[in-house]
Amino acid sequence: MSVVWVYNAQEAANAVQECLADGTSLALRGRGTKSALGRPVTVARTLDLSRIAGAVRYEPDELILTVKAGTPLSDIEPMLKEHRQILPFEPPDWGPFFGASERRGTIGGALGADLCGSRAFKSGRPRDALLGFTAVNGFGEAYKAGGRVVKNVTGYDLPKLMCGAFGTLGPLIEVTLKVLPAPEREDTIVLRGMTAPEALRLLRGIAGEPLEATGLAHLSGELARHLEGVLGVAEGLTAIRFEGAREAVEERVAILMGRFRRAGARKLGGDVSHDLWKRVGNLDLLARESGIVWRIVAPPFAAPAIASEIGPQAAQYDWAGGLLWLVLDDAAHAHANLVRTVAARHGAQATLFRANEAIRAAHGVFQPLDTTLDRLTREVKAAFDPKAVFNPGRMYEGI
Amino acid sequence: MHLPAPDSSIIARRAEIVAGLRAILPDHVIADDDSLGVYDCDALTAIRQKPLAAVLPGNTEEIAAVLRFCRDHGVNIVPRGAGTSLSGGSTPLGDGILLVTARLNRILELDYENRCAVVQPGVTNLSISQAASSGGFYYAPDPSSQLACSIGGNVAENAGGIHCLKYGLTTNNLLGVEFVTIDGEIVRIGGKAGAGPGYDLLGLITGSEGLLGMVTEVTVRLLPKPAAVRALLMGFPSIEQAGAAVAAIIANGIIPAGLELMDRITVEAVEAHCAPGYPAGAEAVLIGELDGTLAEVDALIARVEAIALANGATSCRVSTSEAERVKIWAGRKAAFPATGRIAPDMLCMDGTIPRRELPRVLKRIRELSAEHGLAVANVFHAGDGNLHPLILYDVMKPGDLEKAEAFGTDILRLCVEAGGVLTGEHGVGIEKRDLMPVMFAEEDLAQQLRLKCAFDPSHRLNPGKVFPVLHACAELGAVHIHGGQFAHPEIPRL
Repeated sequence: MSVVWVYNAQEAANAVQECLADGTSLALRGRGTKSALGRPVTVARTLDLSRIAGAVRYEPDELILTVKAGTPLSDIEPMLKEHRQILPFEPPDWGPFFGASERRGTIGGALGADLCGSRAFKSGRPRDALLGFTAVNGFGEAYKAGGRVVKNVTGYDLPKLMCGAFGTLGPLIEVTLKVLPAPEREDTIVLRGMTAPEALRLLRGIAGEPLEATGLAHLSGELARHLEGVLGVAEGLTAIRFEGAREAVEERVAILMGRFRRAGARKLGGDVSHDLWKRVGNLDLLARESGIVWRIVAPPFAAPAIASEIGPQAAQYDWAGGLLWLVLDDAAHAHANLVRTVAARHGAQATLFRANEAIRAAHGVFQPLDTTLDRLTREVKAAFDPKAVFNPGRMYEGI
Repeated sequence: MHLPAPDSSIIARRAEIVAGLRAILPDHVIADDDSLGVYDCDALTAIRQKPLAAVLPGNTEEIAAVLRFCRDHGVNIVPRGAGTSLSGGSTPLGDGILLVTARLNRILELDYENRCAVVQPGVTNLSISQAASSGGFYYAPDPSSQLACSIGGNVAENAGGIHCLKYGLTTNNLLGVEFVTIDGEIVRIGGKAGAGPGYDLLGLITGSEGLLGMVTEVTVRLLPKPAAVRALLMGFPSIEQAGAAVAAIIANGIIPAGLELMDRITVEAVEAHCAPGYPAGAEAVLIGELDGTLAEVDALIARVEAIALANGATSCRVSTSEAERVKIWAGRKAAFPATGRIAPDMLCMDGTIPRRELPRVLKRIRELSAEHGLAVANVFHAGDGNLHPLILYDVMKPGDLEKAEAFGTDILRLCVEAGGVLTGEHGVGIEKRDLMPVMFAEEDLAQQLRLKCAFDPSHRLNPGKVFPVLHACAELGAVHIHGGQFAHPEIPRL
């Protein structure tokens, strides 16, 4: 197992050229915080991209940030905070969940793994924030795509493809992102004791109202009990977050508190609210449960049915039901047939998010592709990386 | 702007091709010369050419059959929705059929629980919002042609509009599409759960200008209609001050639902056209729209008003009723037709620049206007830096069109040089095809073309659009592309 450290696009391109010459492949690595996510990649050489780091250009007035892709989020977020700005997709820190240390993940890794938090159903995923990039392809060439402005339809939208591609289309070198003003104020309303179907019906209703909630989550009692002491709950916890201008947040909270007062609603202000959503995003509560974890992106209305057909030990629902995290008992088959069949039936996409390497290798990780989509996916992969240099097999067999 | 020279060998087989298409669609192939007259251009009216035939399928399977037929018989295909493209995205080709989605005009499902709508590609943009209105929802992207333009065309072009400052372009408001490949395969990507699984092909198809496949069904995200919407009308003594106000609004953490700037020529034209009551004598008029809950909108309106006044606004009017809000917008929405009254023809440009470059770019556009001897009116999606200079010319005057095109080219080069892009929302099409190398190097274009080859290796779908150089796909392998080696030397270049 050898590691190649590269400091710029040219060196990364050279490393690819070497692979093309000797017919080998590369495992791409930022800081390795998400190496347990995806199918195992078994190649002899790792391309370490963490040295390609640093801010290139930050234009707060334009709401635009350009950084090297190996820049850790822990460097980017304070820089944005100084100008009261944020990344729209609220990237969580999954490091501790996967047993790595905290606050080490890079922006390149966040984009490649489609890392997004509770706000994403409202303000978009990484795909909606990546405006342009430079990268190296599997021909060993550096190239660029997209632009440095928010509104751009010049040529194909390659930035979309790179998000969630898990490095299989090549390493990002430099990325230009849209940023947003940080909300002036944040408040959360919590309700206790609802079943998941009750809570999700409530959350869907709120998502359909002009209240612009930016967090709509429900934790099953098994997860919420870990919050005991913090919030004093040992039963299902339903949380509704508002962010924005002070007047806006006050008004929306007042509307809902008026509606839910008799149901025992509580308001959590600033820091407590912030801490709760950080725990949700970082999968802090799920990390304390043992077992297989599935991540399912679903049509919100289908969430209760999906959960009841799968029967998890514990569940975290986000995006008003559009995102489910299900904990299942440790089984060698990972319940893969059950989960994928149920997901497919409801138009959802399931990812085997936490399981040991042998299970991920045996059962795959991402929702299987149908025949035509599989063919197109292979064509797209070949258009960037015909010799399968990058992360072979990380997403699907051969991709 | 030039069309590729039609392939005479395809035209020679026209009768046979039409007969073959009629075997698939007996009643929906238009091939007589008179009827094809209405299909000889899109909204880029400077370029006209009748297609080989216009084909109007009624369902996905018919589209698949037509595409297979075209692939097997070597016929080019130009997809067309409502034909409102300003960049020539659906400009017909003499050696190709127009594949028209007009008959695919049904809203298939309004699903409020999942906050989405499933529609056929020929459905108009506005009719989605109208249909969802009774449920309390709307579809956010609102190109100014929304009354006429089709959602299929919106997907192909990644259409924008006034509201995309806050709510994003088409691509940020789609959950899934069904499309048909040149091989006639029916592919579904995304759905009510959004893009995926696997690569984000939804993001790739969106804005691909009909070069990768034919979209046959679209799932769009619906948003709850805001409880309150109010507009401000602000007059400034200079464009620079209006630009500074825009920057200050954004810097203060406010993202309005819309933020639109018009220069004096435009303001005077719309005042003469529909008298929206814009401030007389202002060098620039800025319209801001805020939406949200009631107290929020009031508070934000007050903040924006204070920022405008601090940046030199000489007038500021806030809408107090829906009728007043609509009236404030009426002038902006009539900017194109109003400008049409002061000149017989116009060319609508569409570059995007970083906002801070606005004063410098506008100054240079004024200089270019003098150099080329053609007037220009400026309409600007100021919040996101998307500039629409309207070049005024008269096609009846010899040389005027060429001058207008040269002026337009200079403006777009200027946008790229200022750190911006060739097109913010209208698409590359034919209009900006030859300018792609201004923004992209050969290796950048080669990577895009490799994707084209992954979907359509024979270049049958919308040839002559977007890419300045058509390479045979085999050329794009490991071999580097060398400048000036055109695979199709018959195509006229800039």
